[in-house]
Amino acid sequence: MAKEKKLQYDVAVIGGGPAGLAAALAAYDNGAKKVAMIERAGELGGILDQCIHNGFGLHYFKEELTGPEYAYRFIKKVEETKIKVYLNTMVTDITHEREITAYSEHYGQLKISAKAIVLAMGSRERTRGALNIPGQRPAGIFTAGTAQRLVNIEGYMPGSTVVILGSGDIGLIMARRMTLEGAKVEAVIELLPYSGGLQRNIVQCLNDFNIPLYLSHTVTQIHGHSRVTGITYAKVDENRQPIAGTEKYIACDTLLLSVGLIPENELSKKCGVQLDPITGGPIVDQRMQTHVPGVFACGNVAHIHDLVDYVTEEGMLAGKNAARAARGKLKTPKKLLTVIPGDNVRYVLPQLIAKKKAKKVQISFRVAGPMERGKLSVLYDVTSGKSKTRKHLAPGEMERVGLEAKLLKKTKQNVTIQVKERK
Amino acid sequence: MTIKEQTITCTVCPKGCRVTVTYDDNGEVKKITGNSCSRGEKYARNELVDPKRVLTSTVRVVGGVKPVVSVKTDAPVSLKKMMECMTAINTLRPNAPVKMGEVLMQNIAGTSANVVATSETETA
Repeated sequence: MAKEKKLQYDVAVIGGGPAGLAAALAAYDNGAKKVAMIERAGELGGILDQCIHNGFGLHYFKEELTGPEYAYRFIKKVEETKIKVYLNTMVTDITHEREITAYSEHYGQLKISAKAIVLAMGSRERTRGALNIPGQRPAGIFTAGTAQRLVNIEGYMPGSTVVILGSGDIGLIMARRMTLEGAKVEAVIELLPYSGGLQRNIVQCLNDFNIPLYLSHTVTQIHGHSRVTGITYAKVDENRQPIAGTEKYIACDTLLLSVGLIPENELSKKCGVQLDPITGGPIVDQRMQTHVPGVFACGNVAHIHDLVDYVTEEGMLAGKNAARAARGKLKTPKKLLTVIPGDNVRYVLPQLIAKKKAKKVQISFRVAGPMERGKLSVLYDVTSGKSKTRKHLAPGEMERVGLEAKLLKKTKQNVTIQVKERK
Repeated sequence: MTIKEQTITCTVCPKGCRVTVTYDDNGEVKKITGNSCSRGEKYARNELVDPKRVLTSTVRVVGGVKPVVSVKTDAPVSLKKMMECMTAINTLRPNAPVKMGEVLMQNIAGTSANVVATSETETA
């Protein structure tokens, strides 16, 4: 029988992907003596291990790295510290009082009590079940990330003739990857009138290989009984409904789905963290602290990112503040300002600002729809700050704006981020 | 002589600047606008003549804990040579262990770029 262990840590980080790695390192570097990182998989690095393409680290390291290389730099740093890493260990419960229950074959049941916790569980992919595409249940339907794992980690090709539904970044990356490995990618089909992926991925993954992107189209039927034999796709109207008579057929043996990521917050809910219905992640203040004192969140568990560099930054912010909380140096604020997504802004993060000592506050946000030129402005209660013109705004590319400390100081209630289209 | 214009999305960094290159019949570049740094200008010039990309893939490892390791070219290679490079990469069968940064093939498909490991595996 596995023996139950009771352990005490200053900071416990849940998840060993890019957010968790950054958080654990920052907590350690900021004086947390006992730091634990708990990871479900057999190694650290999270999704980066299967993201073998390059383009990581341009902001953070000022050079272009592949996913495994980016992760490796942080893993090596962790190995140089006294951070305790629990691999193959699954956290099943976190209480409001920051008691963690975890299980692993090696350690048995673990009970961990932490002065501060950083939630860094990442996200998972939306699956076919969420889309209601008619058809049987043949083999050959994969989420893009599963296909990526099969090709890049396991060394298997999931199919030879491929259609990709959804133009998220993983789908675009897999269009190129499958093409390079000899598959024929017939098309990428996107429901919306614009792609949800980064512009650089459209160029490097689709245009470079002449793979067509059908915007405002969707898959209306999956054909095949034991294996996918083809799909029917159709144009959609402005209400995203298929238009009768526009159906076309493509023969294929594989359908990849790249239709969005969902922050993985089952554990967050268990410890009483409040979630934002738009981001799907915890509501946090500028220190990445949730409504539960001493519980922080960062990375894709908080909101879906397109660049890992920003995940690292967020992880470091969460880790640093978790270390402060563990020392009792992070006061639960009396006065919280609300950050509001205004015109043409879909969400903002952080959603709250602990006003006392709020200096360099940076707000991440996504626009609601694509815009060639937009005037970005911040309202401090009703006072408008400096406005800036930003070009090529798209929901697929996260934007950030720094708040003006002087105006923030005078703010009583809320800060609104808004974008107005400029012709 | 006619002046032509082409707009290229720069992929040097995630910013994705739309760079407009104006050039004449001889392919001589007259004007480059829309870039926010000098790398963008260089990128746009290259895109007109011979677009290059870093190629990333995987190779099968013999006797490793992991079945494959990831690799990249240590310099961008011509898009025209991508598939040729893939054929060459797919002939590689390194023995475990493979170390991060290990050069697995030199001068791939005559491009002068090397294939290096971007992950590692121990011997099983």
